Amino acid sequence: MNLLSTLFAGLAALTWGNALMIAVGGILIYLAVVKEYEPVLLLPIGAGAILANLPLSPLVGEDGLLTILYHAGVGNELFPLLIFVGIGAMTDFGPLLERPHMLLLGAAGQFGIFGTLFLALLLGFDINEAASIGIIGAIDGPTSIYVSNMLAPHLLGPIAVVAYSYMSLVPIIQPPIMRALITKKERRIHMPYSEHPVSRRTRILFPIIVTIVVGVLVPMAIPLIGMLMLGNLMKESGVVQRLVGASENEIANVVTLFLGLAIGATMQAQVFLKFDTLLILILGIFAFGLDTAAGLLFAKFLRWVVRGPLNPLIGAAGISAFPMAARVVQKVAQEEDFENFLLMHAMGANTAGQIASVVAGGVVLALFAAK
Amino acid sequence: MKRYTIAIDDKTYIIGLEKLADERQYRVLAGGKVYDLKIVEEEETDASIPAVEIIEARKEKPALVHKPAELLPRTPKSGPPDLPGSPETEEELPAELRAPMPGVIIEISVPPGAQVTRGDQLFVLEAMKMKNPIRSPRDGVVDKIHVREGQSVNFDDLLLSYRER
Repeated sequence: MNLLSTLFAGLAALTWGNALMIAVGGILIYLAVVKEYEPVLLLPIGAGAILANLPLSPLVGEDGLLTILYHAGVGNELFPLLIFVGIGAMTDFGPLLERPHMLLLGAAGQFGIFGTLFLALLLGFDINEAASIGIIGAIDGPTSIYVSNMLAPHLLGPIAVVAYSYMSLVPIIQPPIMRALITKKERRIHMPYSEHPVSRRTRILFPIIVTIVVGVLVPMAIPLIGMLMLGNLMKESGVVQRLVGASENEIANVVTLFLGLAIGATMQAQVFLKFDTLLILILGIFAFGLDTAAGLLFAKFLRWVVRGPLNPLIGAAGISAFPMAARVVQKVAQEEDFENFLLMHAMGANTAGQIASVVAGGVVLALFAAK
Repeated sequence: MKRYTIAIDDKTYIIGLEKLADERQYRVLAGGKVYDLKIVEEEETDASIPAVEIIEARKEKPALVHKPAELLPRTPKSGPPDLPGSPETEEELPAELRAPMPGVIIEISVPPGAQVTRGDQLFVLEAMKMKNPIRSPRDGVVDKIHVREGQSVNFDDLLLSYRER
């Protein structure tokens, strides 16, 4: 009998919560494999969730692999920052540099952060938790992880999962809002394609100047913007191809795996299965919708100000989800008029959204981290 | 000459603009006609549009690279454009199709000689890793295809010409 109970110790220790979380991990893996929703992240997160919720799992023990990964790179913010180097190395700011006024749309696309923050406060979250939930509105995985880990580490799991799951749902969440807020006539507006070749010098100076300007204005954003722009500087310099290759491939891939597993491991039943998680799930979609609506309405306003050819749809691209948001804009515009090509304009707004979301993350940290 | 797509009150037009040797003179191609514009006076005002005087409106068809047909408004049913001096009412169909943005032609969907109607897919242009269908702006017969599959194109590169009736 003793032998039997030792053999089945795992089964005996299995709680309903664990079982439920293993199922959640299974759903994430299903979304990754079958639906291909951000598979590179959701698959490791799902696997991490399963591994961490198996009863008596040595992986989450004191010296367990998942514990080590968490302390090595999530608890101290290392992994999201390394990922930013890779994102910077992959991003072409050309479409933005050709149309610098798109920066305004990127800023408008961050409205959801602050709107959601207030709603979360109303729902009874404390200020740090509310700020972390609001940052889902940055629609930027690494930024969400970075900020929420600093302000409310106990919400890291739900926030990361919500941010990444919804990010892959951008093509489903955005179009109805776009059709509701932008009239058919507006959706048909063509925007002249103008080619302004951007010089190599501009491309190289851009990341340096942005880092210095943003760094001076929002010191809390220095880690995020600094790493993003470091990656971009390496790419645009053209002289460190090996480093660029390593940043966007090997480093980004390895870190993504480690980050996903470690985030998944934070989804232990006793922390994750709370009413708060459900609220975060709802607030997250609210943040996405608010970002989109704010971007669209701001673009409408901008069109009224400049009185030029500006299709308000591109306001929806002022978020960080790159390049999904820009593609959604192009798709919705083409539904109305197949001769309308907004992609390059939308890409400009989209890269602006990336920069703006990082800055917004820094602003949120500056406002709340000290308390 | 540079080609611009401009919008006036939500309607879009394609015009050509060329800076002449004299810095303040431009040659404008609009509504199938050529105008020479000269900036007579330029000053910063609140109204922000410099005074422009049309010094010559030549009536003959221009000998330019772009056929005037494609300089008509893109919304064919909207009548003549409200640009200065464009009284033509007959609809001219574009004689050719140009790349709407830079990218790579990854698929050519019709062979030369094919009969196409407005809205038929002619190419797939991949830009920013997104596959964009390029559809026919008019009914007609494809005369020549000027690109290969896998070829990168710049904005405004000639993709296809239609057979003249």
